[in-house]
Amino acid sequence: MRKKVVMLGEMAVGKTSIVRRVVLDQFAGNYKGTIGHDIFVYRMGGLGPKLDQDIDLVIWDTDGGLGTSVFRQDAAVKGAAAVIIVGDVTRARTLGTMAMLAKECDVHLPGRHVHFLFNKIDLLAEATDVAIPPELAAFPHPILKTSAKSGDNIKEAFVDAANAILRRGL
Amino acid sequence: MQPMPSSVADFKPADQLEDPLIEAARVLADQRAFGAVWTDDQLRVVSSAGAVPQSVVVGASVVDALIPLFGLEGDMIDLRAQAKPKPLRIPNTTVVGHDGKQSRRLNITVFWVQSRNRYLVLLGAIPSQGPPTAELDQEIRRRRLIEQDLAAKSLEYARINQQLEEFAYVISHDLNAPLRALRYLSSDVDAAMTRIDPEMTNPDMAAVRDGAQAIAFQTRRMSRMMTDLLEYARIGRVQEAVEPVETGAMIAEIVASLKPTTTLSLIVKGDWPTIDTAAAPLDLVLRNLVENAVKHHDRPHGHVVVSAETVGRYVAFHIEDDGRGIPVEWHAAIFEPFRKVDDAHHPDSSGIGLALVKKTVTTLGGGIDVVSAAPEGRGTTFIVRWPLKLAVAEELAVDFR
Repeated sequence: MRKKVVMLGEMAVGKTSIVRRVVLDQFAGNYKGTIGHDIFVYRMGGLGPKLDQDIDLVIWDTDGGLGTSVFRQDAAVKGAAAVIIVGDVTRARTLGTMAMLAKECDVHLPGRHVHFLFNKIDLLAEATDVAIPPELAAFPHPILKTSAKSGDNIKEAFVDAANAILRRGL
Repeated sequence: MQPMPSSVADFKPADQLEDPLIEAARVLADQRAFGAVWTDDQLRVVSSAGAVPQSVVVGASVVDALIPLFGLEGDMIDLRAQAKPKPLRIPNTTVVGHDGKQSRRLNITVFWVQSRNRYLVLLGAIPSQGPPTAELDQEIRRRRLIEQDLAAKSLEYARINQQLEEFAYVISHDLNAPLRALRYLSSDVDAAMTRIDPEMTNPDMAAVRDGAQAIAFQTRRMSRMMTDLLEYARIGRVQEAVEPVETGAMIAEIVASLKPTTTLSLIVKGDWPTIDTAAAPLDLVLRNLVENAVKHHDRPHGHVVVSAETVGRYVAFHIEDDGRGIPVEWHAAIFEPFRKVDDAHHPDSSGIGLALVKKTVTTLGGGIDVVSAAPEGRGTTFIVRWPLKLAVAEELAVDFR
């Protein structure tokens, strides 16, 4: 089974790093913006209630510079079964953008699985708690705190997305 | 003779040619398409031409063969129902393999050709970006990020400043009320003790009255510190009106307002000009420095000399005394809030006066220095560089000593 997953979020929040971490188990510290769209195919096994289902995720790593226009300008989000929206915990503004993108998802991709990732938690002091902006808390979507650098919760995010796709038949 | 067509757009479409094919011809020319795939109405590959990925084989599903098309099956089917044929465009995509290698970056354009009941998929090249162009693109992105971060930080600082201002207001206003009550209550206790035992023959009564007086003194001091702190926080926030100020008249008024002293001589000399400046801040600076010189003088006889001279675009005010002086290790610290050299002799002082003076002077484009020979010698001179005209004092490095 093959399903499309789209990565959304502002520039430099770590979308590419997250995908490269899960697909290639790599992390590069230097920032290089994604221009256009990079598509990764990631095979996952051991899913579903009996842990016996496989899925190929076709992951679209989008250009963060497009903002919400990504929903209107091209094919990136079309046909997606799940959307992963990423923000940078060290830049509050990017968390606000997550809410705007989630709102667009409600309009253009109703009923799809949406996951919020608060990325770069490795840059926070250990005891720092991430305040969830009220505009994000209003959505029912699950939230994971991730670090593409350390790998924290990265695989879990995609396992959750894949299981949600299978469970809901998206 | 007809001129030769110079581009595809110059060709007149053949009447029998369908719109999608005309558009496809445009894409072939404009996007430098290098591969074409025909599929049947079930999206299975029928034939291909040019350079196409190895996965494109006859009979295979085109969405399996060309990964960017996956998920767009519905949109491809929708193409058939359009009244005016319009292609589906998937711009600028690359597929990254499990080994991290990227495929060629492509523009993909899909047409539905009704007469043939087939889809035509064109693979186009992205205009090549040499290293300088790609680097420039990345640099533009980096700068955009920096600009966004700066804008966010500016907003954050503005918010923090506002909070600080509100905090200072709460300190000075709201906390002053209970302090005032404390002062009145301690005065009441003091008065009651004096009524009960005017001669203070009972040592316990005397201790209670002394305690009440000490509380009144300390609360007065704390209240003053808070008021001064508020003044300090406000410097630079209030836009002062600029007007011609006769500095000679100003210093005469300051000297006249001081408590008369029969033993210290206060001498005003030099050339005091009329300058375009903010009167209130200059008055604050000169008054603080002159009052300090008098208040902190350690001998019954001595002198304080106040002078002015114009140097370049500044007025240099000198406030000189022959008091005990300020040791050099204190020269920086005295300008910090609540730092006092002589706390034992002046416990009621808030210790913020010189900090206020320095912040005021520097905010308005001037500077201040202190010169003293202590502890070997005596005397202190404060030198204030005050701009002749406000907001023109970018050359602050002038040394007046």
